[in-house]
Amino acid sequence: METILGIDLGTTNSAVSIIRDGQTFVIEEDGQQSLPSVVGLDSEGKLLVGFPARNQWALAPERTVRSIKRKMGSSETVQLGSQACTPQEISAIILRTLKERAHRQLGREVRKAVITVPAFFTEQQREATREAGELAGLEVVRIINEPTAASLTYSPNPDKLERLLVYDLGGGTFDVSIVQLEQGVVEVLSSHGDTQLGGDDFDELLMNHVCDKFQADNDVDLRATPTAKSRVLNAVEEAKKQLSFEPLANIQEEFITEKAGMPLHLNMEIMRSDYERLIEPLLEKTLRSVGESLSDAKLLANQIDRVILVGGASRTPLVHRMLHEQLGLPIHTEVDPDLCVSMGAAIQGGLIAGLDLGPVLVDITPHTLGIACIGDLNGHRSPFCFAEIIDRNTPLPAIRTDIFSTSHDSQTEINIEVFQGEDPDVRHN
Amino acid sequence: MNDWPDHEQLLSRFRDWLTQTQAECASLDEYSVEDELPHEKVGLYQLTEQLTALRHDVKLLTKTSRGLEERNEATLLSMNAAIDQFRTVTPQQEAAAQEAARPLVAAIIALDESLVRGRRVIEQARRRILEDWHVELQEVRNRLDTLYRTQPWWRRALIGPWHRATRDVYAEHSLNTGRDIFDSLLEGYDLIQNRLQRTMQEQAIVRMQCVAKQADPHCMTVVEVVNDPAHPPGAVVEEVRPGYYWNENVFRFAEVKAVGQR
Repeated sequence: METILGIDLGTTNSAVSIIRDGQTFVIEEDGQQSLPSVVGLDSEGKLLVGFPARNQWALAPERTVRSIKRKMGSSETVQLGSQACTPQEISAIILRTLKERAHRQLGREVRKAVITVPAFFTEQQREATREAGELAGLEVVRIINEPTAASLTYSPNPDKLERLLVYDLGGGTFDVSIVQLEQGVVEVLSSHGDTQLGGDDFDELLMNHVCDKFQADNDVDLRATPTAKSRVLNAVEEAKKQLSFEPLANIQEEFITEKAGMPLHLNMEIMRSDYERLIEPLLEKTLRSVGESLSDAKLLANQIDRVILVGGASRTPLVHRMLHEQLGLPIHTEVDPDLCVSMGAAIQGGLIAGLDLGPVLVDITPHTLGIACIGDLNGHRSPFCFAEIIDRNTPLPAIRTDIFSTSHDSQTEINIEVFQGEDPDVRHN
Repeated sequence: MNDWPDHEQLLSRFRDWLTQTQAECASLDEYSVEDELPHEKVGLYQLTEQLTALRHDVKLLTKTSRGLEERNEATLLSMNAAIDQFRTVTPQQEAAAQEAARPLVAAIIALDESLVRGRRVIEQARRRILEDWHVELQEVRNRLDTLYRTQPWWRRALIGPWHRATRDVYAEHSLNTGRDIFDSLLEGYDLIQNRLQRTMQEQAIVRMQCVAKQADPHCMTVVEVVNDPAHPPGAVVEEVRPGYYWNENVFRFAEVKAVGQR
């Protein structure tokens, strides 16, 4: 079988995948699955692509180009050192790097590729992307929409008509699309988004929350010192990840700063509820886009077969909850949301090569897992209340923690009964 | 225009060659072709028959070779797939092992970073406390000296030995007190750090040295650009967050402040 690369050419990061033994693999290098979509020249004029280029952005912006995807299809040129380059040429450098990464991993050259683009890309922008691929020495067998690619990871060959809502919340952008699949034909019915909203905003909000609290306690603004700010930002990023699985996270940074010669430490507990309160207004905005997208597609929520989450920031549990509440549908996050676009492109490549492919296989919990506890059940206090801990369709292995309290004072023992099912009453699970 | 030789002439030559060959075979002592091959008259009919058979054979061979070629192509593809798989097995195992070790490496790095930071703070505290201590002692001594000088001569004579002894005690304390404790504390701290360093060496974890070097985008992220005429453009003036190598690969980029282009 001929290998066809699946390339997610992103604004911030790009990735490349292939099909091997009927399964999708993301090609990684040096432990990194994604490649920052940044191109630059070092002080000696050598080409830098990916992390090195990203690293020198602050020092040498005149020699570094990033977010070139936003300029695709325009006649605008960007300056790379003394050279003026078209967006296609810059994108071609990124695509060539991904192609070479695949070459190094596979030990042979692969010339064909499927490249993804946002659903809102115009024909001109798509043509520019194809041109970039050709400049990179690739035969672009197809250009597909990002939501289409994401939907293929879940449903490459649906027998009957399926409509999917693809909610893509990346680091810096958000978009939502309604995709319809029927007998190999994929159509994007509608697409909405916000190019200025993403997970980076969540980090910023949490960082400001932590810094404000620290300032209130110690009268020192951690944002004023670059070293302290950098440490807080790294710490809140970690805390944010932790809050996806745990109800609280500790931010502990020793000797973060000093006040009148006295060392100060950052030791703060962040509750998930606090974090969710911070980001809720941003997520409300995304839900408005979901509503608009459904209305543009002239569909009701109950006409959607499944909801797929794409983009690293979509891991936030509040996203699942809010979408579930608004749409009343199960939310799917089985396939790595950071990589499912490139995986979907590889699946499209596999289908073009004549392979009979199924969805990306991921071990999941088929039912919600939880424990019995005393709580409110149909308006009455009941000991048969089902406390959900691990939602169904969660990829395995999974670890989740939750906080429960004893039912009376001085209680010395508890009996934990684990159940699986979807009923709020454990007797039915 | 026909350049073909006359058929009869061609057959005659072929017949001569066959006769000659037959004779040569016969002359090879005990082996007699005549015993094995029946005498057949070689004519156009027989030749056509042979050529037809030959043509059929060639067709069969072509078919077989095509089949072989197709099979070879298929084998080549399977071999490529097998090579792909073979290539991926070891790297996948290595990658899995590396992936499993990453959290431990990250923990060691975090510990090293914290210890270095802690040491810096203790050194600062030592410097500040000893200096402050010294200044305070100096102040007390000056006040005592002033008080001593303002006393009448007879009182000065009376308390002179006590005043000198007090000065000696202050002098001794200003030199040693506190410093010994801090030095001992730092020595112990050194031992902890050395032990960690040995572990890091064994695990091929190396802390990057960035300050005063040129910002290297392959291992450092420039997070802030400063204007410092004392250093050349691109030079790192401060390490905001240390970077580390693991097995000679960058494990974590250093975050640095560097001098901007002029």
